[in-house]
Amino acid sequence: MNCKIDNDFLQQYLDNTLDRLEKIILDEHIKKCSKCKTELTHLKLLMYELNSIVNDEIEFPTELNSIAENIIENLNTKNGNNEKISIIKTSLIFFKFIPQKNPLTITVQKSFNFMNKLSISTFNFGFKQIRKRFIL
Amino acid sequence: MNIDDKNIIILYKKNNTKGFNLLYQNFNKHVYSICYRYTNSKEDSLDLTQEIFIKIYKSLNNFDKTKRIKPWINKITVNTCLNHICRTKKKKTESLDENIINKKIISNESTENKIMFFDTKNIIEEELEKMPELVKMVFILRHFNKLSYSEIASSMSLPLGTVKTNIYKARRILKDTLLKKGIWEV
Repeated sequence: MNCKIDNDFLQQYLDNTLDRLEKIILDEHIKKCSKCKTELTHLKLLMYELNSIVNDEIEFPTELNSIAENIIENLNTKNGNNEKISIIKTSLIFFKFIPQKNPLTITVQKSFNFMNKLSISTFNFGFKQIRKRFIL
Repeated sequence: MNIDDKNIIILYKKNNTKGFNLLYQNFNKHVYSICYRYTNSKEDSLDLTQEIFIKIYKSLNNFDKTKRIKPWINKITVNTCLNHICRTKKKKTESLDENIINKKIISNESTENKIMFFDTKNIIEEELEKMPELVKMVFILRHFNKLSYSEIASSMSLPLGTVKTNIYKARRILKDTLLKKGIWEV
């Protein structure tokens, strides 16, 4: 028998995406065409195998539970650091407008540059010291 | 937008951390399972899940609140997985080999049915590895994550027809391979 039914048509039949008339035509065709009947059986078997794989549940590792916490912690720390640096930079802008730089301003600016390179804990400590000595 | 999406957005507006945590609870397994089916590696999937949720966290402020969250997350997941695969193609092949060996070791201890199941599963996974990345991703989203054709089309920015063609093509290849390997006694 010379069958002109396309494999995609059989797959649409399995997906239930054919309209009613197409479905009736194919139902009738399958009764007569052994080639399409076999093809459809193979596709059904494939679907069965694929469903078995889906049902073979994925194991979710425990590390998955801590990802959200890590993301929030890391991004908040970064944002916090950036905010602190920008606050200090803004508060030191007035140094630019002092006509003659005295040793104090040079020292404070140098110390700020130095602190910028240090870790955030050392940075916080240094900042507190400056506030104690020069601002408060 | 459904109730879950609304709750997430309302909570996020009040408190970024709590909103993000709720979003993470709702979608982390969905994202991880796509990554795992795609990479076949626990480590890669964890890295990818982290990368995806960092992107989500950074862009949640700009999220269009009139849209649903899941398709947006699917889109980020698909793009991140496809980009990742270019970077780690070689590493992925090695881990797949290890996975196959591990599964074969497990299958020695199991019943005959279990062996057949793992054989079929391995053949399908090996065959998927050989497929072009887009075809593979479309197939995984459809068959393993149960997304509809239109959801896949919007997640991957592909026409609906292309999605269907790729899935039909992948099914044909898998069916032919399983037949050749004699998995089905038909």
